[in-house]
Amino acid sequence: MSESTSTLLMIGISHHCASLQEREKVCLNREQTVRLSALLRQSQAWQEWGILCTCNRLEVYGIGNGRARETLLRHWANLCGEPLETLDRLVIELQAAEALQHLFSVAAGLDSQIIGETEVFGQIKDAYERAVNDGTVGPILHKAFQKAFQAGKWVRTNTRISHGQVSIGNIAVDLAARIFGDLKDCRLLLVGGGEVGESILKALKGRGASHICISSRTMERAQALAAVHEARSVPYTEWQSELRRCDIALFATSAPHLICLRPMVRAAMRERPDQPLFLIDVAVPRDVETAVQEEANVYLYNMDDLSRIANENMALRLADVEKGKTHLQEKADRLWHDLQPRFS
Amino acid sequence: MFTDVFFIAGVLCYTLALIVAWREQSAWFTPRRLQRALVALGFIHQTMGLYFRGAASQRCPIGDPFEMMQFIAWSLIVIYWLVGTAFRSSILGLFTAGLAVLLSGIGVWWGLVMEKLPSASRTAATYLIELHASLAFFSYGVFGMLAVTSILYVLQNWGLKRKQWQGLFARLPPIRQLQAINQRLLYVGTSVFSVALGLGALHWLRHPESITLLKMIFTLTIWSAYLLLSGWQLLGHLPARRQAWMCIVLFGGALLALYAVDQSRQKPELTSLPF
Repeated sequence: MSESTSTLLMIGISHHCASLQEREKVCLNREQTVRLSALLRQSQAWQEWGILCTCNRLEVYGIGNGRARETLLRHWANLCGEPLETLDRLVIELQAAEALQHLFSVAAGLDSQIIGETEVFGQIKDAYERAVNDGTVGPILHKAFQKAFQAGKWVRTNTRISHGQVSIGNIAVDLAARIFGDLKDCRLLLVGGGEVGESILKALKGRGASHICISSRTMERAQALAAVHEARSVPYTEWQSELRRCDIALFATSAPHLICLRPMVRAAMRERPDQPLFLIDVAVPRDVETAVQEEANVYLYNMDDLSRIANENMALRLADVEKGKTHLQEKADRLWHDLQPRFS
Repeated sequence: MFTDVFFIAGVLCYTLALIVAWREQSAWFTPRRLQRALVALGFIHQTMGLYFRGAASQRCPIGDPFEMMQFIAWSLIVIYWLVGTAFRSSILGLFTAGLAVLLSGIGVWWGLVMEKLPSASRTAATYLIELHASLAFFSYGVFGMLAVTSILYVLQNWGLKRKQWQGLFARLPPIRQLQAINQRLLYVGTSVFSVALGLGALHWLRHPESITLLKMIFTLTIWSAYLLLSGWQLLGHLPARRQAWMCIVLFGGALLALYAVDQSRQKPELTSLPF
């Protein structure tokens, strides 16, 4: 490609071609991407462009000529303080229909670390809106992004790539919703202070669970967590009495033995036979006796169960990746067929 | 009779609604409006059929097994419209359409294939009986919906206990919501049925010969069972899963008890209608 001819380009870096340490060295913050956009505006190499910057990728989509890559990498290297050769080694460049297909795949979540994740769709929309506000989007890129949004929606609706949850926290939330529906009146008990337990607590809190009680062997830990999550803390000796009042009990201790036994749960259920109790045991070794799930209105899920759900949902997603990619390739080829005359 | 066309159309609409609802569970397109439209269309046809039949016979159209089943199915759909909005999922529509197909289909088979009965003419004494009968059959509709939501509860409970989360299990309503709706339907159904039997008792006191012993036994048994269940639930001693199973079994028993009701109707000297 020469200076006088332009084409649709994607030049960037992602988790596919660079490790986390490499991406950390060359990443740009918001101010730096704004600066990059201003520098591209001053050059003659780019006619239209939009910059997508997420935790896993930094990609520039646009219309550029033969000097587009060199111009971009030079400014990028200056901004991140890394040698040009490093960037040149790490970035990938796609043109024409391939660039379009890549954009569609990213919008559909097919190129994400967790296949089918939906956050990237919003991030692309934000990137597009910023580019529109900056005046760096022209008719070609506008059409490309609009088609990307449509393609992304089609894939999510007509395949299973967004099917089910794949994070432990979200799986726990989905299960809680199957039992309780709306979580906003749910009372939550956290026993223990492990990271996994806290992440599930956050996920449940994010869906509305607000009456939270935390208990830990270390009172200071329980109080610290309670302060962070606007919860109340109780001494470790009192969590059993909380069991009869809570709807969801989350066990994440490092106890070497079972701490929640069937007689305890039976006694708690006697005082609230009509109310379901959801026990989530993410401790290893387990905190909750398996026989507990034989009790009426009690639902027990441990780490194995949650992981199995995550793995099976991921397998379903992966099974539909090819179907999604095939559809996106057809869309990209068709769009390129329409756009190509504008470049000749 | 030309009204038969309405009932056949009603069954067909419910069947299509069932097929559409089933497809929605297994595919990615969501024709929920189409399903509801088909249920509405079936309901309209059924209502027209019941209306014309009632107008022709000058009485509430619950004079024979065919009409009974149609009326129960019609009541079930009324309850569906009242209860169904509480559920975001279309699963309730799927199961309700299925039961409506079963009930109205049996009714059509009974009325059109097996026999047709002459209409009874209205007498002053039948107003009480008509009210009694229509309330009783309406309560059957409530119990029918209770059976549907109980089935949903049993399925959801089983799925959660057995760690099933794909397909149908992912679309079932939440356990707590099903528990709440089961309780309400049980109380409402039992109350309406009690009022119906109270009205029937008023008639029986004046005409003790109008009810056979068999019908009395069956009716009181069904009523007592639902009353006991309600009392047990009120006291908070009835586990939700057991209640659900009992509601399913009881409704089956209640449908079988209609046989006793039909037997009572067979006596030609009676002017009273079923129940």
